[in-house]
Amino acid sequence: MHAVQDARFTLAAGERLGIVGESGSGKTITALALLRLLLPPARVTAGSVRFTGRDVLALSPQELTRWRGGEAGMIFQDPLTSLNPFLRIGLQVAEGLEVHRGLSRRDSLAEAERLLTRVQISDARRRLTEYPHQLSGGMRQRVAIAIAMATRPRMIIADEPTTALDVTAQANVLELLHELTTAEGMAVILITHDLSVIADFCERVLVMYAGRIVEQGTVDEVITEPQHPYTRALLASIPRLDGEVSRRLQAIPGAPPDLTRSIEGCPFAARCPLAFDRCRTERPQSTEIGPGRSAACHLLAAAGAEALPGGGQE
Amino acid sequence: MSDFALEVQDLKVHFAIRGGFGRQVGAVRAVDGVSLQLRAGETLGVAGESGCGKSTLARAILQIVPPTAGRIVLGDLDVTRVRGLELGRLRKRLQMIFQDANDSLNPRVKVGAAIEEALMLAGVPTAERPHRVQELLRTVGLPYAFARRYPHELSGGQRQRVGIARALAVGPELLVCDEPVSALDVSVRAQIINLFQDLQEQLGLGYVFISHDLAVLRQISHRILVMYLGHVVEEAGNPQIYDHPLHPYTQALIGSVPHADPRVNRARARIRLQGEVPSPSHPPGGCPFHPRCPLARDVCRSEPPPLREAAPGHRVACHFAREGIWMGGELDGHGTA
Repeated sequence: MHAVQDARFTLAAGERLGIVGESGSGKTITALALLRLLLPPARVTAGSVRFTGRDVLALSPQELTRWRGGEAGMIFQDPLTSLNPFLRIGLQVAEGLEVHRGLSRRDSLAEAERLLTRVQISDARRRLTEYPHQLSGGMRQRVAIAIAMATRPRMIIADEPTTALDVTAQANVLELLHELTTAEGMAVILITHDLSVIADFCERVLVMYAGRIVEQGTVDEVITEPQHPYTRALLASIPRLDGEVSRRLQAIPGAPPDLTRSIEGCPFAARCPLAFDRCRTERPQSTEIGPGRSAACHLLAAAGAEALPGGGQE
Repeated sequence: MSDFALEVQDLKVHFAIRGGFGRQVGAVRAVDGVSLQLRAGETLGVAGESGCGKSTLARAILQIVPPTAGRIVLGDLDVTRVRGLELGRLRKRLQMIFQDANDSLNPRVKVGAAIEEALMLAGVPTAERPHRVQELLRTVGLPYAFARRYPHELSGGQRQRVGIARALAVGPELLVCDEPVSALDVSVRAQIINLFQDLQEQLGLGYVFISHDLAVLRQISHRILVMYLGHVVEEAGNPQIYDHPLHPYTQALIGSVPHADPRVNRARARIRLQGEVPSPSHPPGGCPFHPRCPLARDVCRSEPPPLREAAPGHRVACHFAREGIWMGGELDGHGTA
């Protein structure tokens, strides 16, 4: 099964990049592959990942551990699964500081207290001695942010960081993540199924469908001038808080394809209102339609743009 | 006989907290004095965050959890007095749709048999059932071949359609839907929302539609009720409540939701609600929202504000209700530029 195919993108230093897609679109697999966190039987079968000039896929296990802890932080949907339920909060924040910044236990706990204060956890000193279950969902996610930021990585990958939270807690967590990463110059890859969260937080976005990047560009470009029929359909199908309410939503018929079967042609062809014969037999290549702006649709290629040539990742 | 398809009067659902020897040491006031009315064929949206009591309200309406006090009247039937065999009669008029239909479908029973079971309970003769199954599946947009499938062979959207078909089998007049589209993928969610709206048009169904998603409620509701800590804090028609919210909590909720348009997000007012929802086992005195409210004064800490009519059809429970409460001071914009 090919969970992700031909994902090609770059992340600039300090940039906030969104990856949006529905379940099974490959957005999480892409992020895990970047960090070499895929568990067997999943593996990277082709491609390369370059991070500030280093080939991540070629790192030795020791180098990888050092790289991940020092350069890349990760925040997951449910911090209850990433936090250890039997360890006090303080030790969990301090751990990375001891391992990756070489601080003593005492210094690392002091730094942990400072970090908790920075993620706006009140009474941080007392919280150091508490366990994850004693915190609310929003507070746990802020602890997860503190842990991810503890080693001052260059990049943070946040996988559905607010999906389990209420809207008010979501707003707080997103704003906090925005403030802190901007202040520290950290890049963020935010993975979510919610295009509104991307529209609020990110500068650039990759739209994934059935394991492929079908469109990318700045958030403004992709949302105001979507080029791929899937992106357009996705935008039209979202109930909105602004504008007129139409009596019926424009639903996308059918369901995403089963990735355990090989897909001929474009994966969206079966649901696409514009599909023609070629879409069902030949897979569309990514077509460059501007700087950092591309979409994989035969209609665009037919419109005269050139297919995107090969290139590396950064 | 009430003018409403459903009327709930001052409903309370408290759960006992028991200490040693079964002694009651406290109570969780999950629902604490909720009143609502629903007209036939309309949708009442119930909004609120986790722990606000919206799911307990749904379960109490269906008599899945017993109310502590108050009355629930379904047309001419006092639900709170229904006992024993009469519960079956109630279930024919009132059905529930869950977030994941898996919660209500037996994994070992095929779709067709699950719907037939509901038809049997509704008293449909055996000979008519296969035909009715076909009809119900068509109503929810599924081919008859699905009757022979097991729940695990279905996608989330298809399972939700089966859940709806089964609920419709008994010919209800009202569906209580608890987060029915929250677990679905975006592209499928719109299909199910449209199905709910089509069914309402065709069958004249009323919905109590519970969701934490204000955009979904804006699409589907005629009226909207906002709950906080077991209380109704505001109730108004749609779009009145979005255009002119009067309660500070409603304003905070609406101001917290990101829009799907980056230009709107850069321009919109952002409200950052501080603190956490208090525990319903130790609710604050006075107004339940006062510990997080920018307007709170002494009266808010001592006197619970009554739900009063601020405009025709617009009720709000706040001593100082007005529009734009958070503007100035608490306003916060990080902007994405």
